Amino acid sequence: MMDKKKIVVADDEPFILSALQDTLSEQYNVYTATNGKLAIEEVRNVKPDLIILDIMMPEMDGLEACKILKREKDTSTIPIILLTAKGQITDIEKGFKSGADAYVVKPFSPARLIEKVEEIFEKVEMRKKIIDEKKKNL
Amino acid sequence: MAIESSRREPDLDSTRLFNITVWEGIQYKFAKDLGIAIKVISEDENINTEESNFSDFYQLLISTPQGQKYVDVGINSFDKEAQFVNLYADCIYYNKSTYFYGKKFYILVGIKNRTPNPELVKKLSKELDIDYDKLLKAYNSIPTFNEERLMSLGDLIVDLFNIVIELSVQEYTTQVANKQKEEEIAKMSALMEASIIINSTRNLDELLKIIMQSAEKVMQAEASSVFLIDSERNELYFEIATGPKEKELKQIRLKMGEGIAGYVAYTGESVLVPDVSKDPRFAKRVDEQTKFITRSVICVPLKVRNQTIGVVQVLNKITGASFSKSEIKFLEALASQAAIAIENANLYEHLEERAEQLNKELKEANINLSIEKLRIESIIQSMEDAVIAIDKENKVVLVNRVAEKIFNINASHAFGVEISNFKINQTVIDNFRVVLDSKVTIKNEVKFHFGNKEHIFAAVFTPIVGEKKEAAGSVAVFRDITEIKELDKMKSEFLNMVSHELRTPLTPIQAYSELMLIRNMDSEKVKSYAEIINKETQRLGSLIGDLLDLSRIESGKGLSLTLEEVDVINFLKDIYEMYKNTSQKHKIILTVPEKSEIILFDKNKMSQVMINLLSNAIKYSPDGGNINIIMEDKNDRIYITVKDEGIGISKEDLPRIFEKFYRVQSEAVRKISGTGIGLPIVKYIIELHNGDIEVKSELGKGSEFTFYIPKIKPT
Repeated sequence: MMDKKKIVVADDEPFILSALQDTLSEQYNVYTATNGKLAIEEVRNVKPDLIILDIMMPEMDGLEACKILKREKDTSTIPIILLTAKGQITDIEKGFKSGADAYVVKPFSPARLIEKVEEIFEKVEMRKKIIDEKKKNL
Repeated sequence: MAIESSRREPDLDSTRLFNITVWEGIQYKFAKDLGIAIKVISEDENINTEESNFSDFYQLLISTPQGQKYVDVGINSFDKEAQFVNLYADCIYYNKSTYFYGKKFYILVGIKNRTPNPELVKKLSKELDIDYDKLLKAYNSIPTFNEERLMSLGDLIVDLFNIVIELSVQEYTTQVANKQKEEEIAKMSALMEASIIINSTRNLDELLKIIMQSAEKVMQAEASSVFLIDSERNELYFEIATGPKEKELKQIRLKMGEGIAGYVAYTGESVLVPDVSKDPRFAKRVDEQTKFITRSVICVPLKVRNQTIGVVQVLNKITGASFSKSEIKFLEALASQAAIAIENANLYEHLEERAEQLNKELKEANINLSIEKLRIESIIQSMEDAVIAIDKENKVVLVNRVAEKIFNINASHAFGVEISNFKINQTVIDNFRVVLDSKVTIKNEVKFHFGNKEHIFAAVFTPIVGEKKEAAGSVAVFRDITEIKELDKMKSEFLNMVSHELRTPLTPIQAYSELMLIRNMDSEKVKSYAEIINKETQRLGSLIGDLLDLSRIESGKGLSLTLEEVDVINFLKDIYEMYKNTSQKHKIILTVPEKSEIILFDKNKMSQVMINLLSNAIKYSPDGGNINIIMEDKNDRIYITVKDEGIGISKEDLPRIFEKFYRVQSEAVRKISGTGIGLPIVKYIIELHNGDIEVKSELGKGSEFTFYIPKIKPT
């Protein structure tokens, strides 16, 4: 049997964090953090397949954490979903600049969140295949 | 960002959607900040994607670090089918097709590859006439991405394109609405113009001509005419005709009831004929005599005191379309202005006889006028807005008191001096010049410093137009909108925070209720989920309660107290029990005197006060620490203090924290969510109990809120 995929989730609201955990833990191994700094530490330890970050967090917010993770060689290719209560285009632009791969707007539907996560994993698989084939052809 | 698959597709002209510049702006930003080129190409040749796109990738890459220079190195070919297209030695494209509004689009995202190609840089440096090293440096400063990252960027841009299309549709819809508004405004101002002319011109012919010309302009008509009734011969004659056949028309007379004009003159009713060839009332004779081809007509009666004295007729829309019913109303309004003009002219004939009497009246009027002048001057002087007026030679003719203060001009010295001699914001001087040159009104926002602060002004520059329509000068009025702008900003920040605060408890509620619905679980789990939902619902309820309280206070209704006998120590102990385990990082310590007091206050509202202060103490000490609740019993007052060891409040912010919507503008606070309505409500409730609250704080050391309420003993 294949190993379960690993996801790091970060949110400062305890019940939102537990909701994320309860939503995802059936299919994935979920690791939690309560701010951007702790999320980065967790990512370095766990080396997850996906990261979900809330934008507004104390200590270090999600955008900043996202920027740092996308700059580091070891973590730059891990897809990041930003979790935001705002849906404005300026936030999306900011998120895009910080390197995020997708957005989920709060309040979220667990079923849709799982769909989104699976969609991202499929995309990653597809890209890997294309790049492998390119390498083969070279 | 999720893309809604069931996107509503309104019935719009899709070729126009892409002329809206929303996309271009965002695209440019991407290019500038990230060194990414985006190109959108449509399969449908009718859709002009050139206008919303930069013509080629290199132009972007090169123009970005240089800022201004654009160059075309002429590469436009791309392969629609390929996943990657290597256009040049050192750039890669990601290509994805997508459908919008039923049309297929190719979205190409281009980025620089890992290393710049020295040959290409050399070639470009020659063509651009830029130093090779400089260009290479600029080129190196563009970030590089690998292919995997490019693909994820590409996917994201397609998502973003969807959002932008939505925005474009919205903007297009408002543009359509605005256009209709503009047409209405054009009609209104044509009417205004007509009534101004009527009051200022005495020559009837000239006056009617101007009215008819403005009708033609607004209604986009080819020709128009005014007929008057000759009651002795029972005929209609052309008083005024505009358009190509003016001379020929003047010789023609119509019998009463003949043609559409005759019909309107006879019945006194307005008529709209979309196609004259199908209307038996139409008199072909006039067209035959003038060699003019009439297609459609609007004709309305000219009435003075309910008696028809003639008709106004407008012919053929230039566009070929027919006239609309709303245009009848407009023409009727114009006709009533024209009727006034005709009557005024008739009256004028009699006026000469009364010239002498008039002369007398004029003298009186002169006296009234100087009184009026004084009155207007004192109004202008006492206005809260700044007013400056100049004549056609750019010389100052008026500066009111507020303007003196704002622009630091002495009015008595300024009179007759050219405006450009003063140290005034260049935009203001430029605006004056434009208004004088083109006789248009300019409205804009201008910023300038005075009193050690930057102020924002809403400025209106209006031309003064003389009798012969020449520019006689210009008036500018400046209104200080700095405070309004600040309030506006605070309001939108508040709305943002409220929506965030409402979504925060809503998120677990939605998530857990959905999990309960879609998953099978044991009753213990169901219970624990329901507990979370219940807690968050209470939190939502208390936030909505705060908002309702605020709106009651705002609307002047205020809050009312329900006093009851309460044991203060027990009351505080209950609150303490509620909070002691909410945070693992904080230690909550309750200190109370030995002997308790039973006094009268509103228990619910006072709990609201304590809950607000305690949640603030927890929220604004993110690193944890002690939170002390201290009760003191002094003479006839009960003092309660809530003290934390958190981030504290700066000296500048301390006096403002009880203002509604106010939030401290620091990096540390920005990351903590809050609406800025808790403390104002706390203060209000305490003052309602005849008490008061004060705060001591130092940045980085924590805050201490102390309030008292008088001891009111139950009788």
